[in-house]
Amino acid sequence: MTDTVLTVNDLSVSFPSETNTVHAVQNLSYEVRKGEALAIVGESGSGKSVSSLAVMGLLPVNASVSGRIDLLGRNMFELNDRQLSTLRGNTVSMVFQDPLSALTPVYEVGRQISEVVRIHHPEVSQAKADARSVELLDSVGIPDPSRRAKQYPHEYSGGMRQRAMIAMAIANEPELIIADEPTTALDVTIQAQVMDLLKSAQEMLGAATVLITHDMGVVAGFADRVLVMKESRMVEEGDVEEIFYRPREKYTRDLLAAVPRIDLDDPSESKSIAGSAMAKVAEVSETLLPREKRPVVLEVTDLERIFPITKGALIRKKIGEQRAVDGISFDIREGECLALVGESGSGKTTTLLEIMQLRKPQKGTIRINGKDTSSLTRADRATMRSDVTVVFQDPMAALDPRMPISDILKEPMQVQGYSKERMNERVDWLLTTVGLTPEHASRYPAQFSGGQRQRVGVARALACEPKLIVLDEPTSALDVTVQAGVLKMLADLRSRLGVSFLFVSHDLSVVRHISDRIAVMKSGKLVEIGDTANVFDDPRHAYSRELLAAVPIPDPAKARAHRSTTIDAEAFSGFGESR
Amino acid sequence: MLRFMSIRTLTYLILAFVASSFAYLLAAGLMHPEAILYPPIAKEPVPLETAQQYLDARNINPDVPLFQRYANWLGGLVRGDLGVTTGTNKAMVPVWEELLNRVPISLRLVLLGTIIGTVLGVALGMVSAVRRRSIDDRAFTFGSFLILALPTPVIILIVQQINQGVLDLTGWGLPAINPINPLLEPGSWDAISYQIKALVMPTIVLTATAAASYSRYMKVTALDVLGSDYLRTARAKGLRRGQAMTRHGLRMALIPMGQYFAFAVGAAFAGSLFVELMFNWQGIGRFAISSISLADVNGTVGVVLYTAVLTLLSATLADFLQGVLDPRVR
Repeated sequence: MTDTVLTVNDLSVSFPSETNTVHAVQNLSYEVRKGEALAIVGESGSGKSVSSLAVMGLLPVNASVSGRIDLLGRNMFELNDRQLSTLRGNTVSMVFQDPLSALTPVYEVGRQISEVVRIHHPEVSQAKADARSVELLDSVGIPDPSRRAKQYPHEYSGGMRQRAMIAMAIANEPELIIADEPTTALDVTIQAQVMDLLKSAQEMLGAATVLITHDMGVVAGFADRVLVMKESRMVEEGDVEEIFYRPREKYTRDLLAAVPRIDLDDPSESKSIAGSAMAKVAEVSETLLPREKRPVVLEVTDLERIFPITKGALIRKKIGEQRAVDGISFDIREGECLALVGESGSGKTTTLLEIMQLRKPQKGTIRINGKDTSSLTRADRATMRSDVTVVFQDPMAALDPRMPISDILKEPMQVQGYSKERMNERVDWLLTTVGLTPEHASRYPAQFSGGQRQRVGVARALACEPKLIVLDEPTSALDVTVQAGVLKMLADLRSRLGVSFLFVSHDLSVVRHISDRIAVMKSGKLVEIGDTANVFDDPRHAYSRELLAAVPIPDPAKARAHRSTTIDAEAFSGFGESR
Repeated sequence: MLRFMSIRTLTYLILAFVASSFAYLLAAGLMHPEAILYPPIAKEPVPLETAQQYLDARNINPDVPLFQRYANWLGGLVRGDLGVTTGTNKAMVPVWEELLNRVPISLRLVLLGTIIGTVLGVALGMVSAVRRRSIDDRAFTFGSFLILALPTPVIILIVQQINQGVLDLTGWGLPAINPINPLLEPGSWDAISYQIKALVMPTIVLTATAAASYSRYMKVTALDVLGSDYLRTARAKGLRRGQAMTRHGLRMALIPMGQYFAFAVGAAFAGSLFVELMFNWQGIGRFAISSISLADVNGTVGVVLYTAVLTLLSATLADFLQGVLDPRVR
């Protein structure tokens, strides 16, 4: 009697494409035992998600599969869809990446949970299944579960939706839970809660778990064993300690090094690519004048932006207000990087938009290079657009797919009336500066990878020699190793060009080595602002401490010490008899 | 919901009013129903007094300013009076009465055609999407493009000829034209069964055209749904392909379809123009064509008002359907 739940043997998956066959997974083998957590780690396109869909038998019809998958001794490839359906949701369940799109928008959340109970236990009455779904929602920490069960997915926050997904996944006490990037779409504090919940659920059920992720930090606290994938093949497999402390393959080491560390003070100690680059920057900036003597680039005083909440179709009544930005003040000096950190909905983006508008804000003042934006004429404003530029979050969406890179870079310069020769010269210089080559100028955005596209975005922001670049989550859409490269480039630019950054992020670990100062934002207010080192070493506000504690640490021993049990096990005691 | 619906109804009343006002001003400005009083239609000169009386009784006197006539018509509209038929037909039947007689004949055609057509279109589009690139999908796609490409009169002719062919071969067939048989005793079973049989062919024509366009829309929205994450979740829960599609996919795919419903009714009305002509039905469609050709100002406007109300009612129904299907817009 073995306790192996899942055996994957020599699995290969390929998809026919127009020109050739795409090999999504090649010769992958692994097994997961009862109660064990395996993490499959890799960057986007490494085949980790496809391999898990193969286990579920949910690959698209045009996929060709070879190899063998055994779940509890049954060969999955010999079962037909009807037999597989009795396993799915009952013996093996799955938590998907994006909980917004993974729940059917038109059904109540409670009903979607009770559905999974009734599919596999048709003898359970609808009323009992509904009661069970309330119990499950309660156990995953949804407040007021009986009311929440009657709500629709759009009335849930992202974290709550993922909790509901987990409730759905554990409803029938499966032997195997597959979690596909369960926290990628979530804020860092919510991510920590959801991972804790998933871990507690797994331990309580004694289920085998496969966690698919690109984030080594998440892995450390969760997995017993780690399998690293790259370009459809397995790179390395081993115990979590082995992988983290004694990685054999270079790729694994790179992956680990790319994770920004917040637990290590000295950047050089972290072996991190980003960290060591930043160490150099730190030396350079010491030769600069002290902060107080440098000119102020951006000064925001008592900025307020309040959106009215209205109701009614013909006559709009104001029934409340959303204080998106609620009286914040900060300044950025020349050559300085200020990080604005907060969760989604905390008002970061609204603050950015208010600054980028270059208009008179609702309340308070915005000064750029000492000039009040409310006093600007239309022409002043157009000129000032070149002083304050922005790099957007999603490099795919921020570049016009039908314009070659050279045109994308020239566009802001044309507005400012640069001569043709000067523009051509600058395009070459810009591309070299951001780590691309001048030959790239004639290509289109689709021919670049995500990281390269973000470099183009940075080059565009640099085009007209700006004083301040606003970076709106510039690396959150990128893989970790790519993110490290982009961060390194940004740090390098700052030291060479002396440009100031306003770096917006929800992730503290990303800004640790690049920012001089950190401003923590919550519900439209700045709860803490101070030097980076001070905020990290001695966070004064409770919320800053919470944010810091939530950052996953890519070190198994430290991460385990962090963990807490969050599932309400009572809902599961005597589960078998209750129905 | 009640408040929302009442606001909608108010907007639609205003829209119907604007549409018919435009129609009145255009019709009264461009049509010349007074032509009946002059050669070549009038064989002998009409005395001025008689002519004026004739024109005033129908509110079509060209000597009265256009906006005066419009005001008269509005006054009637408020009292629920749509005027009398004008033009080269001297009968002077109240338009309201004419509409009341004809609407039941047309409406059963339009409603049956729309409802069966949309249901069939949704089903075919769904099958096309789920079994993409199969023989079924190819056949449905080919068939619907064929129907969309053919003008409605040609489709009517094909249906009629097939019926005739079957009649010649087997001796049994559907009535070729006319919605009712005046020779049968009204209310008797024979008369009713004749009416039902007479309805079949026109309904087939309207259904085919509605289903053809509807199945195209449905295929696209269903394909979107097929690639969605929530459908994958439903499968991961243990639902089989068909179950997941009917329980989770169908309703999501139907949400955008609700809005097409309003257009489907309009399209069915346009289709009914030909159907009524070629099957010799005395419905609204036929009345619309004859009113325009007879320069019947009041009749034309009456038809416009009717279609406006019909379209807006179906738009309301579409809104209502969307509200029922999609909790996010409630």
